[in-house]
Amino acid sequence: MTIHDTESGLKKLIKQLNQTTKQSVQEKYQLHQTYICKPLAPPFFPDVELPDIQNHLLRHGLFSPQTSPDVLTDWLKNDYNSKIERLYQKCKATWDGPATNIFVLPSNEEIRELKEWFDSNAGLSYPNKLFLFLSTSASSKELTALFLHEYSHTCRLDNFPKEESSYTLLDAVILEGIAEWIVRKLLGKSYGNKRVKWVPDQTFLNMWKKWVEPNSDIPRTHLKHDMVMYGGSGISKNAGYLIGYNLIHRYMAKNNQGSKALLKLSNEKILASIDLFSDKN
Amino acid sequence: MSHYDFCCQHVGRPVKIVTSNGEVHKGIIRRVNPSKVFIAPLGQNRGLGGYGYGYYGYRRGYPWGLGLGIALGAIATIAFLPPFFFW
Repeated sequence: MTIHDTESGLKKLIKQLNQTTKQSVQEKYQLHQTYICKPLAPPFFPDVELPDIQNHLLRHGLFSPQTSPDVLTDWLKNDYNSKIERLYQKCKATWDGPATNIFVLPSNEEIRELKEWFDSNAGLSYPNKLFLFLSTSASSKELTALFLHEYSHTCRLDNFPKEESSYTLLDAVILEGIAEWIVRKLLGKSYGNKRVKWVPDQTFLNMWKKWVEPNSDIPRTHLKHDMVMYGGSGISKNAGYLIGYNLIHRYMAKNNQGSKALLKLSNEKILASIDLFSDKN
Repeated sequence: MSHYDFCCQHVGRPVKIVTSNGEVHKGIIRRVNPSKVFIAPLGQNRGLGGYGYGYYGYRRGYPWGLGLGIALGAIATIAFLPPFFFW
């Protein structure tokens, strides 16, 4: 089974939350760990403590342990799984993609950052697993955008396998750029990360030279990696995503290729084809 | 030494904080007030990796600039992270 059963865990959590009306925050966190995070622990996050799994998923947009059971009950009324199964089979065949393990869960709709910029949908992908955190009211196109983004990561990570700690800033910029480009190509400009947009050549070149070029080989564990990707210390939010999208946009404007070929294309070939880099150097 | 004194003396240092209800936080001490310590959690990828969409970094709605606030009274243990972990 590729889409894993998260519904039974959610139903048990709702039942527990409804049984006692006055649970402490601590009790709610423990219930959330037991019914949502524990099923993931042994096969999917080996040798990791439950609070660490919970922290990690919460930071990436999983619903809060303090979410009302009524909201979770409403969320369960959506039939997201069958839509995702269809999308998965279609993308897997079109992109020659790998089999993966998919987990669909509610997102945290209380976070202003997620609401304003991502329509309260979030995700997280690995070579062997993929998490989709969807809002109660995610439209079909929003769901599709999130799935395309995350599964494109799984495909590219599968095409260029290496130790996770070996992935560099350049890998991340291109990975996110491809994902954002595919979403816009297939669904239109209004989908994807709202901070990501086309910028003029000079702006793109300035950002590239300032933030990515001197740091392109830094590993993902380096602090600067996340500063460039997510923003901070004078770097605009999601800068790495914007730079990646602009890079891929320029590559694809020149090279008429499909998504499948793009997902298999090496970083070097993409960079070699960007006129802007050779002209101005 | 109280947690407050410890945090005041080590602003800017990477630490691991375990709270009395078992939550584990790793980050750099940003500022301290008499009731809370604010840490900038270390990068999302230091722990369990993956590539995220919509990553917002902090829990319970704390804004980006402030960091994650942890009540000093809820801290069970606080310890420095070794330099190799940080860099």
